[in-house]
Amino acid sequence: MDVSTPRRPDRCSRVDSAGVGLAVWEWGDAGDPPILFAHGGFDFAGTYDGFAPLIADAGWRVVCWDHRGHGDSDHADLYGWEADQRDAVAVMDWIGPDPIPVLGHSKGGGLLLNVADALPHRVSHLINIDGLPSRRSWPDLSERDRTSLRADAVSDWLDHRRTTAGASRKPGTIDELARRRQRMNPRLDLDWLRYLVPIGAYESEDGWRWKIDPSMRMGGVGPWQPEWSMMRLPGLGMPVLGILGLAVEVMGWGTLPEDVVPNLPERARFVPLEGVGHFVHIEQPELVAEMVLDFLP
Amino acid sequence: MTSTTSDAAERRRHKAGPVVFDIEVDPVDPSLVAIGPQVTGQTGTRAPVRAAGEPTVWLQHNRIRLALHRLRDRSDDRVRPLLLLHGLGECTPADPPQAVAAWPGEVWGLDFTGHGHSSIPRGGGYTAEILMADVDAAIAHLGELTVFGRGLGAYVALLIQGGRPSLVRGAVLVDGPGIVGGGIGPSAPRVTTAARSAVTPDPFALAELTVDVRPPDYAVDYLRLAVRYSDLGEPVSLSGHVRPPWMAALDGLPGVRSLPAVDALADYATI
Repeated sequence: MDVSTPRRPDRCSRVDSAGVGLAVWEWGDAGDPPILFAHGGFDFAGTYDGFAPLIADAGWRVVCWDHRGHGDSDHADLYGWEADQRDAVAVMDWIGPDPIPVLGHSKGGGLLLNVADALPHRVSHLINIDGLPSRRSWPDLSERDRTSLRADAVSDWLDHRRTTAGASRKPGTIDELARRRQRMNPRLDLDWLRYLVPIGAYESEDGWRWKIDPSMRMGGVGPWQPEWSMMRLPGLGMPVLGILGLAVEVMGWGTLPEDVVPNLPERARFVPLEGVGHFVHIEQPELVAEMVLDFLP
Repeated sequence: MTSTTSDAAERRRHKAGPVVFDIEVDPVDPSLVAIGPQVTGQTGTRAPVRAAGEPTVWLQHNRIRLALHRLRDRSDDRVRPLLLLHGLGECTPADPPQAVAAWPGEVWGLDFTGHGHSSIPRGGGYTAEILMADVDAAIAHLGELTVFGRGLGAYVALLIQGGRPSLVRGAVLVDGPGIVGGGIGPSAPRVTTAARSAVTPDPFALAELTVDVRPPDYAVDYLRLAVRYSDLGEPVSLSGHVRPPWMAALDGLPGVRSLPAVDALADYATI
């Protein structure tokens, strides 16, 4: 296992976000200063079991929620970026009114970047771990090829929506679920992925199933463009720490340092890491924890 | 900064195409999704009172129950149904609008998620694409049809014309609430909130679908889908007065024409 001594959270609470119940997990002493974590898409708070204890043991109360539809949070009726932002703020409100540091990985990084831009009075420090999408990973296509690609994506997605009512995820053994996940997380150790299964999946008579809402799938349809996230970065006024894993892998954005550097705000630190993939904090928990703790007040 | 060259060079070479994952889902039989006519369990409360005997078909779109109303019987068996798509905050009207009076086929109206008699999702999360999938649930029930969209429904009509180009036989786009959307790109940063409501229209729908971003090139992509995969020469008809940027980008392109709704429908009825 490539994450040293994973540890389950010390507490779990339920926070309501306009009718959607969110599972909120905490590591560390309840009286310590809070820091809010956000996980990536198709992950869950338990994927911080290796990294979060390193921050908590340094005197922080680490709070992380399972995004709607993920982990132990409710399966919502609808999903969207606006809703995810609202959920993040619901958890922040539950923590308290004071500005706090926030840390997000991948989708969670983009999400908290937007929240920091929209509500700067709520965020004292922003840490973004491989969550700065760039257009670089988008293929250069002719108009004809782009139309074909869009046609396949839209019709596949509509076909998918016709089958979601009553759908469930495929059952399997712990090992089978871990190996499926490894297709999306190819650089992560199989033992670590096996560790995650009993946390992110549930067991029934015919086997384990990932808890994530079966109506969700990677790569939906919509107008979103990756540069919309990066454009939020230059205007941030709080201290920013950006960490980028440079090894190419399937879940990453392929963002390069030269994509990020021109957009860094004045009070930013930026650390691109050679030989590290998208799940930077899982591959290098001690190194990332050291950087984060050095950055935090 | 400590970057060296090998990973960065690999990233420069790397041009990822679309990534398709095994989503590990056991699909259900799509034929089970469309539920037959029912008259009970209506969830919205602000839809117009329907006359006795007017059937409403309930469709299941994931966890949302959609109300599909038949407004008028057909006078010509050979003509496909016309589906009305209402504007933001509206619902299917009790009577078809004058513009569709001459349509010789059946006339239906769909209440979008969170509108009319359709159910209200918990905690918002609306996108125009979800409403496109609402329409696709109606297509699964009705089969080939023509769409007539007002405001937000006009934008959704464009999307479904591109998304199901062989099943949607013409999209007529007219003025109405929600036609502008949130502009061509991200606007001022914000976290959208609303108060929960037990009645339609869902305030989260009003809040989120007022600011959904509609880049012109995205709208043009859907037009291109319609033109390329439909056998109609001009599958999209612009029949309103307002031309928000997403619609202005369509104006004059192949496959689009501007003409009164009555004329557009008269033409589509003969195809």
